[in-house]
Amino acid sequence: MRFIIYIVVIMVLMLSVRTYAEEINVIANKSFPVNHISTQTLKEIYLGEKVTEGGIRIRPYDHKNPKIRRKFLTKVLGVSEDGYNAYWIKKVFQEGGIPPITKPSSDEIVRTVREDTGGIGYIIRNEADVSGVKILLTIDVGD
Amino acid sequence: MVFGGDFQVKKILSLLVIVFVVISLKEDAGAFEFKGFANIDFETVKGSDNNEHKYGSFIVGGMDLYISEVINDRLDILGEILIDPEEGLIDLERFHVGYIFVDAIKIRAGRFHTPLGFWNISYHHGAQLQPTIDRPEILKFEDDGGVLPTHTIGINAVGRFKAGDSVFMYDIMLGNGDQIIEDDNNDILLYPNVDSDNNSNKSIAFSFSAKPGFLQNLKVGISGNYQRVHSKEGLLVDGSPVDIDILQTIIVPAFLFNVNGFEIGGDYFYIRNKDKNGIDEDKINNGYYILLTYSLNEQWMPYVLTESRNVEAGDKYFSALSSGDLNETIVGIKYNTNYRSCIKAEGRLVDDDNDKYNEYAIQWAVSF
Repeated sequence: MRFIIYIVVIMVLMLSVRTYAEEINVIANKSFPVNHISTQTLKEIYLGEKVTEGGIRIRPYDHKNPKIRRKFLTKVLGVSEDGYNAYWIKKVFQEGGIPPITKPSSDEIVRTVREDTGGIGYIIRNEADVSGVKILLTIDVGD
Repeated sequence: MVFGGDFQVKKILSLLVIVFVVISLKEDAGAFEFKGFANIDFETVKGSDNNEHKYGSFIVGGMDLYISEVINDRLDILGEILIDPEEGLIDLERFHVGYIFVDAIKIRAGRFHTPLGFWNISYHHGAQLQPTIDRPEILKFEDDGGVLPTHTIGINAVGRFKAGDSVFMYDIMLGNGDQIIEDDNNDILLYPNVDSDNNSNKSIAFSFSAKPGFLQNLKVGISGNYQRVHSKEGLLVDGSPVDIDILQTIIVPAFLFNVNGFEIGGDYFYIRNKDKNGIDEDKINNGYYILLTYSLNEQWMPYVLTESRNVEAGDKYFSALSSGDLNETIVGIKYNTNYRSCIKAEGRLVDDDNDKYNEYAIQWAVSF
């Protein structure tokens, strides 16, 4: 009986972890001019091709957590981590500007986006309190 | 450009003053960071006794430093300097201040790469970023004996906009035209009039490119440059006085297409030199390069580049710049040890004004 309980507990934990890691929320400041963006637009923002929206300068923030960052880059932007880093070296050298600024945690990303009119960031869904920001897009990123 | 020590020092000091002033405008002004590129090459030549690398040479390719800062929501700067080991000088390559209104309109002022074709705006001095070891011959920088106005000092407007799934980009530039001068090393060079223009005609450059929505792997473009090129008064070429005064029109169609790791692209250059005084006939010249690459696991990249330059007989402009017909084919491979370091090896078959020879080169290039 105890064995079955262990198995059930482990399965519940695995399922909860799976649910926890499946979705990414793209958040923005409450004053951000739009309430929803497409994955394509998000890609353009993180690749520095789209830098303004409704007259506001967009400032994208990257996640320092390598697992979350890697998931965002591969599943959403469709690039590897090295490919993304190489892309930004080339982009900055060609045109100027700066790459997205990295923040150490989801809480820090939410806090920064809350205070930055043009701020946009991504966090794992339910990982941080998102009051004071708005969710532009929720993306299923799989396991 | 490399033209004299005192002059260089003044230029670099001026740049640093501008950089410090602009950065001090930043609300949270603090430290700023130079980033850069460097490369070390080995090159040898077979079949040509006149080539400087006939005994095999190690070459330090120079240290290229750049700074990119966003000052506030609208204002940014980009500066690039090259520490040139051959000339022993610091060389200001690019510097511009930009103000962005919206994605479709950004105004910049300073010194730029002229928007001619795709290569010249994609690759600068950072050898690590470009597929081949060197730039195509037709796109050599002015101070390396280049024949095209690869740099312009002036103002420009750039922008990007979408129509449905299609993306359009433009770049319009107004700047000083070039002149032909003799530098401190007695080389005859095209000079982009860094401090002052030697005539009232301004150069006009443009570039329009598009990524059509129905074929997003394709990028096509058309660009051009119109300028008056007047040689410096009293210019001597091979000891004889030369007066070149031409109206130069350059038109460059370009394309880039990639699929399944393969990428093919190229620029074609139509160059018309018209005698401003109407004495000589118009001279029509052309050149092109086509580059084919294949990217394997973001690490290996074999490539083939073929290029050609065809100069009409009696063109004083090309003659003064010691530039004639050229055909070259390059076969090579680039290996990325990581995203900041690569090693390239290539062989070149060169036919330069009927002097045929082979070059072999290896390069280790890094960014830091």
